[in-house]
Amino acid sequence: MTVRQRQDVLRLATWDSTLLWYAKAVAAMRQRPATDPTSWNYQAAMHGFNAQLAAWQGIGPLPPAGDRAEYWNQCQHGSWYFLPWHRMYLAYFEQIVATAIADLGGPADWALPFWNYSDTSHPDARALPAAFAATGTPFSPNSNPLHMPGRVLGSPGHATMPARDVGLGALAQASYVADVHGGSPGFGGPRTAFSHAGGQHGALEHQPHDLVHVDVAGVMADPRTAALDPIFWLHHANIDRLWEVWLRATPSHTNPTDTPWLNLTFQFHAKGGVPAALKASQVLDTTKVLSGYTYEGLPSVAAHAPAPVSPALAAAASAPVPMTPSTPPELLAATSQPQVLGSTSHTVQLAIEAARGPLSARLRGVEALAAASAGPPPADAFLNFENITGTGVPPVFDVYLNLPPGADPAAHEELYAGPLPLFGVASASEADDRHSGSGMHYVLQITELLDTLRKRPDWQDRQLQVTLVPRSALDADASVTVGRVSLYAKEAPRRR
Amino acid sequence: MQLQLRALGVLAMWPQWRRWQAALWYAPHWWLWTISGLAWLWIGVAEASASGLLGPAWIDPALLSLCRSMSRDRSAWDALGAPAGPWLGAWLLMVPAMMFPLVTEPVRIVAFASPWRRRHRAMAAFLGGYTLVWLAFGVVTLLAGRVATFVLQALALPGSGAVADALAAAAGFALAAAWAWTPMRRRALAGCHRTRAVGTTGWRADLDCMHFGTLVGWACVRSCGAAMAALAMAGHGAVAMAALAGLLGMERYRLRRGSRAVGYAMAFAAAAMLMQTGARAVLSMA
Repeated sequence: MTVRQRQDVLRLATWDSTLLWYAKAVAAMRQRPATDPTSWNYQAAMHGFNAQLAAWQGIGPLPPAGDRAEYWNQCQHGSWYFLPWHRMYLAYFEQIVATAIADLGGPADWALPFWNYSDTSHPDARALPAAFAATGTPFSPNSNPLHMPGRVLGSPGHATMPARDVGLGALAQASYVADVHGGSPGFGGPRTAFSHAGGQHGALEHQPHDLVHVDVAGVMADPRTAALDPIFWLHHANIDRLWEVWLRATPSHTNPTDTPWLNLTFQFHAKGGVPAALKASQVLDTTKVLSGYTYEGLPSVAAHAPAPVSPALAAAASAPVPMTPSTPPELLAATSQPQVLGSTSHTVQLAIEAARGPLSARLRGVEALAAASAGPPPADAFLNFENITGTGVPPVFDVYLNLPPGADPAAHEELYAGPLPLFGVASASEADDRHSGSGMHYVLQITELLDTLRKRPDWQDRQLQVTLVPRSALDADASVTVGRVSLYAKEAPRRR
Repeated sequence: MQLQLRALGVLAMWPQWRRWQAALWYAPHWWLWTISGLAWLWIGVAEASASGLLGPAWIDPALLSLCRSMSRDRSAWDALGAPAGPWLGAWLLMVPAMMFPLVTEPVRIVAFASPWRRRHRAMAAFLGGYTLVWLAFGVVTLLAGRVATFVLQALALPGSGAVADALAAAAGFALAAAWAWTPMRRRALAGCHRTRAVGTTGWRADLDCMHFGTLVGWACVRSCGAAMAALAMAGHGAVAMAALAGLLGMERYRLRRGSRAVGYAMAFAAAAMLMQTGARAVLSMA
């Protein structure tokens, strides 16, 4: 079997054979009962399922409780398993869809396409691919299996996702694994056990992953229904591709080598509904995952060559450097009460304390987050939003720093710190056998923005205003409470 | 003072010192594991003293007496009939020994979620709340055990002392096995990973940390309490405790969600106790 090549859906014609067969396979899989592991509903429920939600009503008999406990509601979020688990999930899904396509008389080498919404060279990258927005297909003019009611993306006034939502700042993360509580979210997320708390989201999961989910909206906006949308799989193919992009960007980008990450086994179903299992160590090379796959346009590993440097820099780089361990992130400010968010902007004041721990000793009297007259900031700053709980599907909240009272946020993009997508906040807030009910945790790295703010004449030392602006009003059944807004500082790596 | 400063200077120049220093920064919970280690040491001494391996020549007689009174290696009825103080003392010794390592993660989180100057205080407040919950559960277990003692002895089983002993232990492990397979326990296991926003100053912050500890303690009691109670009622010693602690640790950090290892282990223990019950009954009739 040749290695499948996953293609960029933006470079395919609207009804390219890849998408045509995908639509046929989706239609066929939807006909299968939910008790069949190769059915559309079963595959979607493996990501998330909740019988109370409207999207899951009327799907017919469910598999036995034991099977549901074993295979459903398995998605790994807020965890370093986020990327490997979704890679395995997609691989088996692709295999099942490809089998369905072959059974329908289609090609044997069908591969799941990916949606590169961050492609700035394509004018329609941030719009829903045409095949998913169409209401008919060449083989069924009045219905389209790839169309999903309820999506906001593609509706009037929402033709495209905001450009900043699909930014790839996550690719600049130096480490896969998040720092300890309060620090860098890492590229892939925090170290967790299987029974993860649904806590801190890694940088890639935060953006663009969570934002694309809530921007598409409809069933995509809730992890318990998201996989019911055919676009879910192309979105996650892109997330999987970005994992490869990050790894190939520089040799210092590496996967964890910890045994718990490599060897924890996850349960799936292969083609034919046969029980199967995989662990992260078996999915590190995409060409060896099941029948293997690659991505169109991905730079090869060998193509990466170190940038040329001057002889002086090369000599300096080759000189022995004493290993100075980094200081841990240190809490410098935090709110004392939970913050209940509503349909209007909400501002909190943070009083910044001086660092007292090893960061203070390292900085040798220089205040971690004080005004710096010149040079890079001495410390990296991380704005944490901890224990975010809520109900329903709240809107995205945009975070601004030191926004003038009454000012229009849209007129102050220079003060924009980042978004809080709140994807999955409702399920993270419910205590059940998969979630602790502690809510979500987002981290925004605000080093550069703080450095800009410090150089402004209106900067007040030891004071930071954080304004949360909802993109739309909260629905009647939606609510959001932020347990704590906190500010951490950590010695910047360039100083060591 | 001069010597101290010189010593610090020497330490700073020691090539490995910075690595050790960084390890302490990132592991503020080091004393949690130290306390756990000391608790295991005490348990080991108690076991050795009760079995006669350690005598007055090795250890202060008063301490030896205390250790023996807290030894777990005795029959359940002897243990449960003993004064409540030593029994609860032994129970509380079990908490740092077996349970503190399981709460490494939330303790670490509460440390980093607190200002540097009060991180140890925050951890101590957390552990205070956590231990309080286990103490309450210990009292409940003791009372339940005494009721069970009364009921089983009233049944006047043949060779009731030894047989009832093993039967009670089997019943305890069987209950623990049944509990291990319930959805409530799975929910409790997820709850062991919960977090909570805590304050940063004053007694309110202490209360927040203590409340955090009680929340995790309650989840821990629901997930591990049945097995712990069964072990306590069976009067088993350090080896069984260490085996159970290892199993619970594996379940918390290594095994996949939904693993039935604890349930099978408890069922196996119940079966072993039942066989012991049968053997003792036969012997008593012989």
